[in-house]
Amino acid sequence: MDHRESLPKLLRQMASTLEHASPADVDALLQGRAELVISGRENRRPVKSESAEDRRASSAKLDNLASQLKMLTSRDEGRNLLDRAKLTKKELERLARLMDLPVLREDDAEKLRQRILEHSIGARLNSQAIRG
Amino acid sequence: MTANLAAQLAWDGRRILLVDLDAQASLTFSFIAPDTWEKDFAESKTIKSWFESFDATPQISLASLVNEPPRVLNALKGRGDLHIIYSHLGLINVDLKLATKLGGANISQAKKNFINIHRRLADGLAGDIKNHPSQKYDLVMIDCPPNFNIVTKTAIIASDYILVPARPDYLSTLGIDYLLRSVRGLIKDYNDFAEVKDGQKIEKIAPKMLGVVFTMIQEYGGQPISAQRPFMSQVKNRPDISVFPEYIKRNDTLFADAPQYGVPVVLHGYNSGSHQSVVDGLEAVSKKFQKALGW
Repeated sequence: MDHRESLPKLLRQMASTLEHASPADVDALLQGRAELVISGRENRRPVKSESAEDRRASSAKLDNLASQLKMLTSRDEGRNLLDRAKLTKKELERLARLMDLPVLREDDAEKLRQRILEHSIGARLNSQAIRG
Repeated sequence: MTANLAAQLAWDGRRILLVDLDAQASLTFSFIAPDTWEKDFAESKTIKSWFESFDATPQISLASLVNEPPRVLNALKGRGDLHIIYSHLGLINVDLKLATKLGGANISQAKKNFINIHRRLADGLAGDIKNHPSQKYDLVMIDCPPNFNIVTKTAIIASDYILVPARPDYLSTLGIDYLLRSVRGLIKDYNDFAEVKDGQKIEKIAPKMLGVVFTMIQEYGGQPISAQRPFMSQVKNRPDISVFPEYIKRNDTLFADAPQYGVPVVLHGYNSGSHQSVVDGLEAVSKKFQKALGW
């Protein structure tokens, strides 16, 4: 098989994968302390794909949530808002990415919630508290 | 950052004086080796000696402490000037001595002492440096430690502008708020007290916050990595502080040992892509800085 024709597609897939890698992983790769490996995915469960309509509705919901979070003045209000929205882990990841926050492979739903709340509300409260 | 920004400005033909007010003396050791400092400067030719000479006769002149680091002089090839007044590892003791001189028998005396102590550097620069015929500087850059001691306060009071270098991480961005709070408190105290010195009005101070410059930026895909971007955007979203869109990139290969050779990275003659990328970032920060100064 001639790999040259597949190379651009492979590089795009690698770039897409690396885009979501943690800073620590990227550092480790750059410094030669880690390597990329190819692993089979035969044993993985097939992922149910989301329809375009579902995705649009979900995006609008997440946009709205991100805007509302920025207006709130306490972490508790933010947590209540996220609880009421009943976001799946996938949606929390998308909300975090929408807010330009890092999403690590090891993050569970609670860690994602905390990161979203700290970025959208906590940072403002911290700043106000220190400035007095 | 201070060494590289000053070197870039000097490369652009400016006359720059650096004053290192950090007891860790990192800026000092970016230009001279510690053994040279100990042999030729430590005893009587640092900013510590100047602060201490207020209690001695004769008083040392700031201008007499100015040094032109020889390796930078060579690298600049006559384009501009970069001079420096070195710091001292014992500078923290000066702070303790200055603290003992604050206070007074009554409020009026305490206010007068406050102004006298805190104006030392401002008066020294205005007298010894500004009026010195052979040292007409375009800019004096005072490098401060990351705390708000009395020596740092003398720098704030002597300054027209404040530039805040910061790493985009949680604790560093909290440090920006701490600095803003401390500067605001100092300006208020100083301006309140300035009314009463010897019954005369002392000019009030209003140093302008030029903004935050993010440093140690790790890039991936042509932008800061995702772990740093949220902290950058949080600071940008704060209403009363501006952030330079340009930033200084992290490159350990270039920066790790550069101070050892006494020449800031921006003056190195390398041609590699990664070096050029770092220098481009420094140049962009320098341009923005000059624009903010109205140059």
